Amino acid sequence: MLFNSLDFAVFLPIVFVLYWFVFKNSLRSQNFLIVIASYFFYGWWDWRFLALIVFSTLVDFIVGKQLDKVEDRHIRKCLLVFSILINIGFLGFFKYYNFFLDNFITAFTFMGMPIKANTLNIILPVGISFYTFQTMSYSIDVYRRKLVATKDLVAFSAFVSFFPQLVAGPIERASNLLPQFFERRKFDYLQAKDGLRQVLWGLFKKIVIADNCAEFANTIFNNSSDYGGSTLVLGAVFFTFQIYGDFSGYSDIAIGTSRLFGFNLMQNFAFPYFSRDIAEFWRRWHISLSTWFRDYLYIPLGGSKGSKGQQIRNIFIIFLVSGFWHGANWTFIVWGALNAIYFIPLLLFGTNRKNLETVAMDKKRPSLREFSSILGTFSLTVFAWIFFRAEDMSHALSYISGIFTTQLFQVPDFSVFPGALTLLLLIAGFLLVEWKGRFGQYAICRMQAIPSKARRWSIYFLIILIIDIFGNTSEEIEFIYFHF
Amino acid sequence: MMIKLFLKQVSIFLLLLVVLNFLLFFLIRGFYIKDYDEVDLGYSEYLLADSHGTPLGDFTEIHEVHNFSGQSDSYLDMERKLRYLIRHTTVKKIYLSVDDHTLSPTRENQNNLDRSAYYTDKEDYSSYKEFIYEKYLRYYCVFLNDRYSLVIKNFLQNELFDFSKWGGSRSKSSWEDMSALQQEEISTDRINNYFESTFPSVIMSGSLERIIAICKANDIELIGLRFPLTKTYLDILDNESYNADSILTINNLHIIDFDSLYMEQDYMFRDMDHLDKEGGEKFADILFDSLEEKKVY
Repeated sequence: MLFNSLDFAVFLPIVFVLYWFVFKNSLRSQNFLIVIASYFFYGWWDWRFLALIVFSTLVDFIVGKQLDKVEDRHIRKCLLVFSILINIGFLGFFKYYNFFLDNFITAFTFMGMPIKANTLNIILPVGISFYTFQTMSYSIDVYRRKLVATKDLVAFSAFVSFFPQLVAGPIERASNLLPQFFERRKFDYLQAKDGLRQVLWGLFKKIVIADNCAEFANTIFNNSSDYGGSTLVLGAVFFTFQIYGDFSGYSDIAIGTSRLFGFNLMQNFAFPYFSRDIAEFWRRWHISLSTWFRDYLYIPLGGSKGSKGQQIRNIFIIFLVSGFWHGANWTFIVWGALNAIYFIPLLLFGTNRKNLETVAMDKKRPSLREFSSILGTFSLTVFAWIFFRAEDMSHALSYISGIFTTQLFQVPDFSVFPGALTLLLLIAGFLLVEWKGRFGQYAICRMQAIPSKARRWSIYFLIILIIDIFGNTSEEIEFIYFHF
Repeated sequence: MMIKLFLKQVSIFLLLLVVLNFLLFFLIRGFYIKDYDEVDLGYSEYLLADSHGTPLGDFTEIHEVHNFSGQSDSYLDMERKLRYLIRHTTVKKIYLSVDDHTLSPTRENQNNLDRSAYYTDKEDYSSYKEFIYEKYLRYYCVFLNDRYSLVIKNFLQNELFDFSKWGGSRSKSSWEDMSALQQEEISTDRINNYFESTFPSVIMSGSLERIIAICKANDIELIGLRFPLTKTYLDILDNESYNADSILTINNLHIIDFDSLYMEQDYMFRDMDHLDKEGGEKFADILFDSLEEKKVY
C-alpha cells in the first residue's frame, strides 16, 4: 500500500479510530492491532512475503531470548551469528543472488573457464533491506547487553513490522523504538497535529517535487544519447531532487504517521543539500542508515581510531557496503566509492567534523564562503547521483562523457520539456521553505509558532492546492527506496 | 478529551476543504465544463461528434437537429450521451461523426470521460463503487480529478506565467493566412498524432459497435457523417484512415461524406480539419438541405 494512494487514505483513519477508541484500554491489544494493520499494509503488495517477516521476527525473538538467558560467550556468539546469517541469508538470496552469479560467470569466462549457470527470476520483497537491518540491530544490541530481550512476542512483532516505517525506514534501533511498545500511550494533541503537518509536507515533497522531477529525469536518463551536456546536467539535477523528495518525503510521512499513534521515530533527513562538506552531508542524509553503519560496522572496525591507513580503509568499507546495500549493481558500489573518495581529504586534513552546526546559525542568509561550500558539495553529490541512477556502468560513463562536451555551456532547450521551467520555479520555492525551516525536524515544523490559526490553515490549504494542481498525480509512482 | 478536540479540528479542516473544493469546482465549471452538461431534450434528432461538430453550434437547430457534439468527444462519450438521450427523451435520428481519426488510439486517451460521467447512470457501470466514484466523486471532487488539476495547471502556465500575453492583444492567425509550408507542417503534426498506430483502438471500435447496436435496438436511424477537411490536410492524409465509416457500411447504415466539400475554400476553416463559425453555419445548411433533398447518401 502506497502512502500516496487512496487505499492508504482509507486505511489510516480506520486504524486510527480502532487504535484510539476501540483498543485504547489495553496496551497489548493496541500492539496487536498494529501487528494486524502492518501485516495487512504489507500484504497489500504481496501477501506471500509476509512469511519472510514472520520468520525473521520469530528467529530474532527466539535468539534474543536465548541471548539473554545464556551466559556462555561461545554459545552467545553462535546465536548471534545464526541470527545474522538468517537475516543476511534472506537478503543475499533475494537481493544479491543474481548479481553474484552473473559476476562469477563473467569472472570465470574472463579467466578462460566459462561456466554455465542460470540466474533465477527472483522478486525482491519490498523493504527487505530495512526490516532486516532493524531486526539485526535488536539481536546485536541484546548480544552486546545494551538491551534486555523482550518476552512479549506481540510487542516485538509490532516493532519489526510497524507499518509507517516498515518498507522504507527510518531504520529504527530497538533501543529507541521497542521500549515505546511497552509504554502506555496517551493521545497527545500537539504531537498528533505535528504529525499531520509532517505528513502533509512529506506528500508535497513526494507528489510535487519527486514525482515531477522523476518524469524529466527518466526522459533524460533513458535517452541520454539524444541530449547535450547542459540538458544532461539538468537531468542529473532533477534526479538529485527526485531522490531527496522521494525518500525524505517518505520519511516525513512515516514519522508523521507514527506520531498519530503516539510513537516518535528518529529524524532521517536534516536538510542535506545545505551541507558544506560531504561529511556533513552524510550526517544529514539517511541518518538512520548512516548511524546504523557507524554503530554496527564502522566503530567495530576501529572507526576513527588507529592509523590513517586504517581510518581510510574503514571509511572505504562503510561507503562500499552502504552502496551495495542500495542494490546489486556495480553502479551503487561506484557511487559508494565515489563518496568515500570525497570523504578522504576531509579525514586526512581532520576537517570531517568541522561543520557540526546547522549552516548560517542566527543568520538569514549564508555567507559567500558558506554558499560556495554548499554549492560545491551539492555539485559533488549531483555527480555521484549519476552513478546511482544509471542503469549500468557503461550508461553512467556515457552519460558523464555526454556532459563534458561544448554543449555543456548552452542553455538547455526547455521547449522539449514542457513544464520544466515551472518545476524549476517550484524547486526554488521548495528550497526557500527548506532553508527557512532548516533548524527544525522538518521544513514547516515551526509553523505551530504562527499565532494566527487562519494564517496557518491558509498555508496548509495552499500546500494542498499546490499538491493538487502541480503534483504528478496521473499515476501512483512508487517510492524509489522500496526497491532497496 | 484531547482526541475529541483533534477530531473536531480535523473535521472542521476537512469541511473547509470541501468548501474550497466546491469553489474550485465552480471555477472549473466556468472554464472547463462550460456547457458540456447542457442538452436540450426537446428534439428527436441529435448530432454526436467531436470538435468537428462543434463549429456547427446552434445552426443545426433550424433543421430540428440538436447539436450534442463536444470538443474531444470519443465514442465512449458519445455512447454515454446516446444512452442518456434514450433514457430521457424519444430519439429518432442520430448523426454520428465517422471521420478518419475517430477510431484512433489517440482519441482513446484524449476523451471527455471525466465530463461525460455527468450523463451516466448506475446501469452504465459494472459496480456501484465505480458508479459513485466516476459519476460523483471524480466529477465533483476537484482533488480527485487529474484532468481538472491539469486544466488549472495549464491555465496558470499558459495564461498567467506567459508574460508575452500580459497586456497585449491576442491574435489568432487564421488558417488561410498561413503559408503553404506552415499549413503542411501543422497538418503533418496532426496526422502523426492521430495515426501513430497502424491499428484502430479496440476500445473505440467496441464502443462504435455498441452505439450501432443501441440504435438498432431502440429503432433509431443512425447516419454517419464525414466532416469537411482542407485540401492541404486531405493531400497529406492520403488514404490514411481507421475506417470508422466502413463499420457503419457493414451494418448497412448511411454515410454522408463531405470531406472534400470545401477543398479550395480555406477561408471556411479555423485550422486544417475544423471549420470556423462561418464555415459551420454554411455547412449546417448544406448538410441538412442535402438530406432533405436526399441528394447525398
